[in-house]
Amino acid sequence: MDNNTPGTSSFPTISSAGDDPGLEMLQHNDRQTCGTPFLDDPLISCREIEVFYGEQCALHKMSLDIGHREVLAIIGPSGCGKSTFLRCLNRMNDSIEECTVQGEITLDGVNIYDKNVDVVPLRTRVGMVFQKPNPFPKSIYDNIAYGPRIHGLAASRSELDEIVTSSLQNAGLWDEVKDRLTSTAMALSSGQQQRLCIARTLAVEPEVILMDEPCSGLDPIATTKVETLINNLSECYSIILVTHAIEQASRVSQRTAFFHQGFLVEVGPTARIFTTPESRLTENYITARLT
Amino acid sequence: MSLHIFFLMTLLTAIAFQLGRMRAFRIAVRSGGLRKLHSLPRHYGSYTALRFAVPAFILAGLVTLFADDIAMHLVWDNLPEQLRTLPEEQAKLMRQVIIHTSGNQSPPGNNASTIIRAGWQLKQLITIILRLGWTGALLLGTLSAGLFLRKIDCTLPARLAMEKFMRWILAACTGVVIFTTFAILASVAVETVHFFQFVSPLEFFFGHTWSPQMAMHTGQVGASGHFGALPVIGGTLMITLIAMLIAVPTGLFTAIYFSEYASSRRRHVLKPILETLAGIPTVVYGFFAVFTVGPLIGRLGLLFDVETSTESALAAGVVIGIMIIPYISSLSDDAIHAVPKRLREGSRGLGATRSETILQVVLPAAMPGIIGSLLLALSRAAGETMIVVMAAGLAGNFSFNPLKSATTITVQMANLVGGAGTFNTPSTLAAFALGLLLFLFTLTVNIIALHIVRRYHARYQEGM
Repeated sequence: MDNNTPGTSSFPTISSAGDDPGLEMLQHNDRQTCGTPFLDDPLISCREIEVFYGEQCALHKMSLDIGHREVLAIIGPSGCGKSTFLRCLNRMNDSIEECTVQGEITLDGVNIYDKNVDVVPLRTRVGMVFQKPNPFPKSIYDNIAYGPRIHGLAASRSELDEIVTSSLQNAGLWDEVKDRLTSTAMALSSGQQQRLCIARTLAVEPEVILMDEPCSGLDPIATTKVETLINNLSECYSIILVTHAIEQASRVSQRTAFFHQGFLVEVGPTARIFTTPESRLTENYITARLT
Repeated sequence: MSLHIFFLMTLLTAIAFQLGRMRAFRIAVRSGGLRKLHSLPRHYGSYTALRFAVPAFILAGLVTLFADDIAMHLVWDNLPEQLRTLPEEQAKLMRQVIIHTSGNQSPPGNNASTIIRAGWQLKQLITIILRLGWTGALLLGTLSAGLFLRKIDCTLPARLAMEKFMRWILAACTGVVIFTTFAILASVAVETVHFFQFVSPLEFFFGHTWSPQMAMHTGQVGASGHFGALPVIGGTLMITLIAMLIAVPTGLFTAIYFSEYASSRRRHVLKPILETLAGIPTVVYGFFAVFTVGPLIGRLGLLFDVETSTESALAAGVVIGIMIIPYISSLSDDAIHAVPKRLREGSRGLGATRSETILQVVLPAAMPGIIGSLLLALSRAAGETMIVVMAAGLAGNFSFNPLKSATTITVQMANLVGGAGTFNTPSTLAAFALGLLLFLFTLTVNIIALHIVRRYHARYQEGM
């Protein structure tokens, strides 16, 4: 989790990496991203984006493409800008005072930071699952139906039922909750709550799902369930997964990006990143984490 | 004198603490270190202090409270037969006279009257009783603390005893609060029953004329004494309703603006300004109602060709509404602010707009707190007296026309009791009946609100 400054809540800050190995290796001329950040047919492409919180630079100039139906894992130490980057992709940073994003992020060729772009349709296309399960204090049914109702996706009650059922089924939660759809979502276990949040996101039929350490508060069994779910979902959705657990990155992702102190250090196919990383920083981080 | 005793006993309490602590230390040293003791020395000290303070202060307090009565009782019993058998009213007066003469500085001469001698006796007796009592209190405390000091050894569980005492004192404080509540309620209820011996409940609850002036002498004109509470109840409900109609939307919207839209700097500057509204004395609001809102309503009335009066329920209601805005806005803002940010992000992340998020996620989650703020505002509005007196008048009209003068329960209570020396005429007793009525009204509203909040919790907040 990012170090949250008290008072400003989810306000990722750049902390010194402390005892992180290889910190001193990062020289000015090392700020080039290693590996292959660009794709032939990207769904999202970020060009030279830079994020500031007030005066503080949270994310230094970086470029990265995200493809169709792939799982991109983002790893890195606390405060490296992972969450900041993720929140740029559906403009969740807009609600943070003093946060400025520069550069260009395009979704299907449209710059999402263009001033004519409405965040409402953008966020239906780019859904988000948060670190802590955040079901609304409503019934399970109303939680799932929330998005479709707001966007008028269902013309009738039966259509809405349909959406709720299929979303819960896709999130692998249907069998556990089908008998108590009208009871409060707050009574579910945290693993179930997190899958409910994923189902809620699926209900508005996004193309991209952003996941900000979705398993950090879950026990191993619940984590396995969510990982299986991510695997299944990747057949239909692009998923960008911020994670602390690099084993998780190796299990579920096709590509991995390594962030460090606000820099995108390296990105490439997960297998290559984990076996033959180009950057010493990446290598140090992965070996330190795995051994 | 009693202040000296108080300081002396406080000092002795401190000494008892030191004695207990030192004794515990000595025992610890003798038996091989502090670890051998069951509790820490300060626990023994505190408990010794308590052993002194509790009986001593209680006895001294009781003596101080009742010395006058006991002395009077003794003096009264020594009075000649014909004085003791006076009727109650005169006896009361006689006792007052005796108390008054007890202020004399010098002893009465041989040929002084019985009363003056009784007064002197009273004075002497009180002094003796107080001295005896205070000495007794000190002795009792010392005895109790001394016995405990002798009992201290390694195994004595002073810590547990202290914990028990803490629990006892907390429970006692709670008990006092509960007792006070019930005592007030009981006294009001008793007087109300008394009132209903003069006026039938049927007239009180269903009568539509309120003119509580009773004839002081037979044959007095224009003071018939009608106690139909409907106009008063109606006035209260109407003014409260007007106030809430003004305050709820304004306060709630202000709260939403503060917590959801205003930048944190603006919130920090503006919120205290709004809260000073709550600090303005209600008399000042009354002026505002009389000199600004009242005439404004009059002018509007001219504009729309509606008959208005200088005193109107509307003016009072509007101004009370303004007065209670900060209660709603400030407390609701706190409740809304306390809704976890992740709920908002979850909703915004699904593509909900700000207002959709507020209406469908934030407000339901903050509902218990918001209802609490509304309740507080409601009881303030229903209980407001001064603004109503100034802006809406004293006369109860049995009409629900907000442009006419109106009166409320609290206004009538102040009106009935103000300046009254005795509480045995129907008009003063009516104040108690009205008070009970207001209490029942607020109680009902509270119970309903509590029920709503519980249901919200049961439905939504479980496991949160």
